[in-house]
Amino acid sequence: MNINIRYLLVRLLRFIVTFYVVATLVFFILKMAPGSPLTRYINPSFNQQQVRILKHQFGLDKPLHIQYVRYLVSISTFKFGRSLAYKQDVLKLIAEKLPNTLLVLIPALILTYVIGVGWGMFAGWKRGSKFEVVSLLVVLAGRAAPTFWIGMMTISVLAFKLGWFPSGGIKSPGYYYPSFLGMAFSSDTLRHLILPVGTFVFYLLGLPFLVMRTGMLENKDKDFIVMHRYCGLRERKIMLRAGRNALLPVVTVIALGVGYIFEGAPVVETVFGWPGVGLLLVNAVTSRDYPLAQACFLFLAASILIMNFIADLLYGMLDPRISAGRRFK
Amino acid sequence: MSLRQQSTARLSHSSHKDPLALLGIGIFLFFILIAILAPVIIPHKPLEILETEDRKILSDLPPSSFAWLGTTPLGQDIFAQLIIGSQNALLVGTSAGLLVAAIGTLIGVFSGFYGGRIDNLLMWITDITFGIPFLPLVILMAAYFGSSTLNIILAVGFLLWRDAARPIRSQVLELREREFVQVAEVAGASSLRIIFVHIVPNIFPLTALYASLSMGWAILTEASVSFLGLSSSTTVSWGYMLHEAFQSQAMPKEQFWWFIPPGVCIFLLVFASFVIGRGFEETLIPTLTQE
Repeated sequence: MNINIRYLLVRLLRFIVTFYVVATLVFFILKMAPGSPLTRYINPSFNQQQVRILKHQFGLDKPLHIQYVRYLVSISTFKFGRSLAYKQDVLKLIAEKLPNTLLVLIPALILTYVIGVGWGMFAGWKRGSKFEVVSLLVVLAGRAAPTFWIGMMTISVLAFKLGWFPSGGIKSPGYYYPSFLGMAFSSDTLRHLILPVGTFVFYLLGLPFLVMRTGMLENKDKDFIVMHRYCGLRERKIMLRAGRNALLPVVTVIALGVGYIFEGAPVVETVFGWPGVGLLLVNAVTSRDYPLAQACFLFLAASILIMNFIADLLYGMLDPRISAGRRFK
Repeated sequence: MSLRQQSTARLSHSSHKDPLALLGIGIFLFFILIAILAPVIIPHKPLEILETEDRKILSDLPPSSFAWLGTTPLGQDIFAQLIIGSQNALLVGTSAGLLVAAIGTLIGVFSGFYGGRIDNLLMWITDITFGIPFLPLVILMAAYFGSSTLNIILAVGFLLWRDAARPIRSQVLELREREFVQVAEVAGASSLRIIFVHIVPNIFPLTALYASLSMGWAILTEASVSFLGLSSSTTVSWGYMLHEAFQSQAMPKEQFWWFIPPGVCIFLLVFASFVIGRGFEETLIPTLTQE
């Protein structure tokens, strides 16, 4: 394994600095926002004295820089406070909802990449054919149509009109599971999963498809392909050889794909009433539950950053020129 | 022929050859026309509550000649909302697109032209902005600062420039080595003059590509935020219409005329901005079009 330590450290440092900047940004957005974060607590009948005590309890009477330092300390010790609406530790709430989000995310990601890579390879190979043009249009359509609307359309047709799938939620009424795994692999959960997963796949397909197609166009006329053709290899085999060469950039966009899913989660989970982290964020925002909203947001940001970090490492491992290149620059 | 003439020639050439980009421009012009003529087209005000003569609310009407796409449970004309919605979508799309183009171009050009520390700093900032989850941030800002259209435009503009900055920078790095830039430098032109007279016009297709892509993203983002119910209820947008339809159980009630048209409109406008962008892309990378 020729992974370069310096490369790894540089990436790690970048990850930490970026997260710090994002956390700072959230702090100042909250401070700059009009209205007090205590609106939820303060009753119009409170007198000045009570408001002052409340502010003191939350440390809001301290100068800004002290508040900022306290905020950073509490974040780096994973203390995100309690949710105002659920009266529970926000980290516990997120940990409860995260498996549900992953339950959609992982199958969606696998399906997207299996379908997208195969389809993109074929479309790139058949450059200029009707098949390529139609594929491109379908993929662009998946990009351009709002995900929540695709969700609404599938619900109205496949759930309400045809009754093939449930219209939302994670389980049918009356179902109870002793363990998460028992739920994850039950047929009832699977029926609930198909529409949200399908919606995500349709939306994300463009990413691996387009990258794979471009990679095929680049490799199509390379010497080694011409060579294979001279050797009399079958067309399908030549395509797979070209495909293998085009695969590298697809790996890096996996992280981007995960990022898109986490970003799309609030909207898609809302449409399907899927109790994940995204829906938690939306509910927190609409009910002005600031600690929860802030923690959900930081969690989403951290997930995306971690995925980017992993992708950087993968890329450095797969293509040593990248991790080595830094040293000689 | 200068680079600019070349690219303009290629641009007009490829747009004749690229039926998709032409289709995109057609759709875009169609919606502009609708938005301008909106006050004339709509039969009722979009938020007006329609009543019969004996003061009963005309709620949940199916499509008819009175209300072409029926009415909402509150008795509002859906067709009127759809038409007015085009104004908001175009406003959000074009202004966010321009903002992204302006910020992205400035950062990319300064980074590529000056190099060294300025380059490192600007590219570092760009790197960091890539770590910010885009839609959740817009949701957070809409929640904290209030969800006016202006706030959404600003949130989109101040984040999406990140996509444009890096490609523009690489283009500038290449342009810097071109003779016409070096000649200008030798002739004593100031850096700012070189940047704005010689470099910025030459990266126009790239700027236009990202402006048009971000227009699509901005419209989608505004729609998503409004769909979540975070937009102000006095602005009628397509996302807001879908929010109302979703909340009022239009799907189980099979009121297809309510929730299909706004989605189709969003789709068409975003699709148009993507294929127009693709047209620019093919101008930039002609090998993509050559068979």
